[in-house]
Amino acid sequence: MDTSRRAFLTGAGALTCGAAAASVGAKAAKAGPQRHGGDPSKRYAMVIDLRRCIGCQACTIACSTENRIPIGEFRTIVSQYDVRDANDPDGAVYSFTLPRLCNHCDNPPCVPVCPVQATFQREDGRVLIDEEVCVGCGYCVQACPYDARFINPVTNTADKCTFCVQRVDAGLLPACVETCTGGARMFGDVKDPESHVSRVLAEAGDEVKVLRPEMKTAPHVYYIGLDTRFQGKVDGAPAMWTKIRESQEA
Amino acid sequence: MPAIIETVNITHEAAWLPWAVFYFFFAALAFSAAIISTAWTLLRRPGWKRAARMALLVLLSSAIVAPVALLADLHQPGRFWHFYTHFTPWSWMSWGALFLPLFVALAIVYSWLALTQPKDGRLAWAIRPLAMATLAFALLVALYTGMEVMVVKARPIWNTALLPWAYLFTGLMGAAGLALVVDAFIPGDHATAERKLSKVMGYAALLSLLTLGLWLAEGLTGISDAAARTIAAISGSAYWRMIGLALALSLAVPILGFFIRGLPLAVLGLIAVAAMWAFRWVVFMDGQMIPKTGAGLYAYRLPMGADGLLGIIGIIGLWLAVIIIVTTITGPAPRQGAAQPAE
Ligand code: SF4
Ligand code: SF4
Repeated sequence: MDTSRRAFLTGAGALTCGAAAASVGAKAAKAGPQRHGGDPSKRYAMVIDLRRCIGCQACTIACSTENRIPIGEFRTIVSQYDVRDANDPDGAVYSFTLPRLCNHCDNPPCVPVCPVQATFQREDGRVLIDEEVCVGCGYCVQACPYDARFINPVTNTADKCTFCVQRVDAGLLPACVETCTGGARMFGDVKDPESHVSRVLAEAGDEVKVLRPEMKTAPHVYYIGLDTRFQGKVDGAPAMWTKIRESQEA
Repeated sequence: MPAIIETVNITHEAAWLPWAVFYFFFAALAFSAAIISTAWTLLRRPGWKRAARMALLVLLSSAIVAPVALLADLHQPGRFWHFYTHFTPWSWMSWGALFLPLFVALAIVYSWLALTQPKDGRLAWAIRPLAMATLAFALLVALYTGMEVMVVKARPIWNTALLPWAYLFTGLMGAAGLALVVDAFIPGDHATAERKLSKVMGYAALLSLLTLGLWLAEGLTGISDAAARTIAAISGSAYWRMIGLALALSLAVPILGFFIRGLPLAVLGLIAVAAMWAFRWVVFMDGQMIPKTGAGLYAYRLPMGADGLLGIIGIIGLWLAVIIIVTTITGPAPRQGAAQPAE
């Protein structure tokens, strides 16, 4: 066989193998990530009644203490805003507080991107991270539309709210719910129609909103009393960002 | 007085470090140089021999450096083997973990053989099939690096079908530009190679500019929701307006070679490389400073250590060391008397 024919056949062989691998891959990719672990008869969710939130950050501190979050990183934070009526610049300014955390989405974009399946969803809806498997690539941090994730500088792996998996599995409430001064944060199983959260949601009806519904992530942190101007990227002026680590370095 | 003032929130740090910029930079240099050099090996168009040789040098050096930057971007680099024990076909990054090492291995063997042309011609038959396989994997790396970023809906600045094209065009521009710079340091007949490479660089720069223009048009007209959202988030920032203008100008410079004769092409080449790098920096680092939910923009401060300035100096130094070693060993041209396919 002359060299150019042999060369062509080898090259064509390589291309065919590549195409075959790609089509097998495409089929497998369609299957997508599967939920595993947890109780399929439950679906954990949080309800936050913003009318009761006083912006005291007790939840922020309780979470960081319970979960030993390094200083400067947060699994939950209460964003605060000064709001005024744009048509009445001299009118009263009021304060709006918005607790933020992982939404344990039903269609979580952070899960399918993970290249090693360290981020996964349990049957009960909780989205968790296997710290032993995570390679710290940060892809899930990019994919979360809520900025709910970060790379933990101590473990060097992805980190976020787990709905306090260690407490809930022991029959306790998440630390932020337990400590919430105004009783704004509620937690429970929305598959159980008799649970407290189910009843609160049913009562609130149309008042119930989620963050960034246009992302179609089906968040399972529900808000009551959410001003729609705060549902997505807030169109406002940033005033006082705290960057604890930076100020400590300085 | 704005209607809303954010009084308490946190800045989210960039999860993809400057290392990621350099990985995407060197990977694009490598896949683009692979396209230029294998095109010559496979098609043998006259006048391309030296230009292809310069592209081979860019390919070999960038292919060696790219995986180093990638590993450094992982926060747990020692666990890279998890990519292979937990293969995940629905994640582009997982596919990348397969494509990249194969591409790098093929690129090293192919460029080494093509550059050194073994004396007795024993392995000459292998160069063409290796070129085909290298080209195939170069295209797969171009595809995965583009798709991996494009699919991230949560970052509207990345979430555009134009992004993989912008990576490809700026990559070709930068690889041809870097080949021109390398050419200036290696004795020989510069004129023909310069003509060919500056043509690739100029057309690729033109296509890059058109792609950015198209993105801007899509955003301003609202045809693309993601582009419109990005523009809404950044248009109020003087910094973004300045870097947008600087990027557009530096992408226009490589095109000047078409119109003005006698310009130092190596200098244009260097500007093309800088523009290619800056494009990736803006997309990755500045892109990560656009909050997903918070107001305004976060501020990025380049750390001085390994995840910042020191890392940048280190990786550029590594590439310089590799290109010096490679050019010294392979010499300015194939050995005399070596078996060479006719041009
Ligand atoms: S909020 Fe973000 S991190 Fe949490 S499940 Fe949804 S996408 Fe994932
Ligand atoms: S950082 Fe960890 S959990 Fe997130 S995508 Fe990468 S490997 Fe998965």
